[in-house]
Amino acid sequence: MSRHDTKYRDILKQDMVSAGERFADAFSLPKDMVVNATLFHMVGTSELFIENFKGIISYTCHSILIKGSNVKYCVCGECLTIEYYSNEDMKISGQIMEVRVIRD
Amino acid sequence: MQNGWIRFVRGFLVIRIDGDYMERFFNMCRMHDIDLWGIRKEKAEEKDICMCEAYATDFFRMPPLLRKTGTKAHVVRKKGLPFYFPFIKKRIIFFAGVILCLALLNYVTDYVWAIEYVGNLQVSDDELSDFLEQESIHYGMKKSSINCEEKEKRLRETFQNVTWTSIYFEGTKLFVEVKENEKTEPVQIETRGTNIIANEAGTITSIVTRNGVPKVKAGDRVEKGQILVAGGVPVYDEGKNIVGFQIYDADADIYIRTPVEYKCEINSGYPVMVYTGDHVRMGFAEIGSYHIDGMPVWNFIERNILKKENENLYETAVEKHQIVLLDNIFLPVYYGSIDRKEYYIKYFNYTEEEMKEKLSENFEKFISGLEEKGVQIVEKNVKMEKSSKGMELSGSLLVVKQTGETADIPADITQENETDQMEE
Repeated sequence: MSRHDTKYRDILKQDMVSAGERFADAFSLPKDMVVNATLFHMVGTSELFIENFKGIISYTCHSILIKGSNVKYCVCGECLTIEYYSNEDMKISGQIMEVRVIRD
Repeated sequence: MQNGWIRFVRGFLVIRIDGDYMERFFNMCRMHDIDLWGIRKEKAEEKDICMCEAYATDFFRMPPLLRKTGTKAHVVRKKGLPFYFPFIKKRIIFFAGVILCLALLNYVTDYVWAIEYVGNLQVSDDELSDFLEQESIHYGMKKSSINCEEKEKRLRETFQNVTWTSIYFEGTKLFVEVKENEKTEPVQIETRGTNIIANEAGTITSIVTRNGVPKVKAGDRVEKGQILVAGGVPVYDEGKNIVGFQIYDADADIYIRTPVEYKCEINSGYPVMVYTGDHVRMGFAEIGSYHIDGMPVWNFIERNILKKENENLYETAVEKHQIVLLDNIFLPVYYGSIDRKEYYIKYFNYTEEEMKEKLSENFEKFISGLEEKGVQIVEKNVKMEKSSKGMELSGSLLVVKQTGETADIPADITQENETDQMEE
């Protein structure tokens, strides 16, 4: 596959995502269901609930790298622990400093 | 997410995960619906390890995943109810006792074990107790069998001065709360026509009449039962003839000088309780109508083993407490102590001086009693002499006291008075 094809495919993918978002907005549908977006719910600075994710890529006390659809998320902080990790959701607790989105 | 109780009931393990691909192991667990929680990174022997918790049943599904990811799992601790079963099995009687105790507690809390009256000032506790007895409400009856609203209504009907009432339960205690009418309505005394008559014979010293016609004056000698103030007031016409009588309740302050006799005798011998020093204190328990204490056993030991035979008497004091849980749950269980002191009656004799002193003391008490009643003592004549039993004090007093008691006017009195007037 040529470099041109890859670039074309990425643009197409971006367009599809934005089309999904537009569709969700138009019909007032939840975006996490339509475009398969990862849902973050943060309580203060010490608790973070994550839903609709694909898995954990790496886990240390200072950072947890989470795989979402098309993107990765990095939760940085101190003394991070995974309170529970199930098929539906996970909860991270600790001193959360930053939640960063890492695009591929 | 499941709460801690469900985890405890299902039983869970604290697991140490060691390996290079721990994240992959967690993801695979997630894919296979194996719940993990409490995941935290720790350092052990210069290596990064993970501690996590998982259900004991899920642990048996982990080996293929461990093999695939090249990680190792070690059970550090077992927690939860399934791991307590061996512990419970060894102490089955204890746990059965606890469950039985809770069941009994639940059973007894359905009944009334105490009654308290609140807010009653005019209506006494005894009257309320009698009312409850009439309504068949008593200790030990089932709470659900009492219709509080109906009893409240009956209580208001029975006691006219009760304006508000509430019957309710707190724990096993029945509260009867009442509010009484504090404003007393002015008493309407119906005039029925009464005379004042003398209580005793004597000489009138003063008379102040407020209502009625005085029939005596100061210095008059009267006999017991004689009319002092008449309630029928004659009405005269212009020719000073009696045309009728107005009936009143006679009212007057009348003082009479009258003799009072006093006699007091004292026996030379008198009984005294002498304690032998034999003192027994024992606990007792009472459950419902069943009473248990150690006194019969002690009596048996005294008679048969200690061979103690006497006809002494006992003074018994009982201290009784009811078991109350959480301030409100009164159980039909009582405990306390029985204190028994042995004594016998010994007779002593008063000396002459002691008897005189005793009699004088009694006489002084009698005098002070009269003075408290507002009786003035004018003359005292007291004599003390020996009698067959002991000593006797007799005396006659001349006192000035208030007299007069009300008596209904006889039905024919008006007619008689009219006749007397006509004859004159």
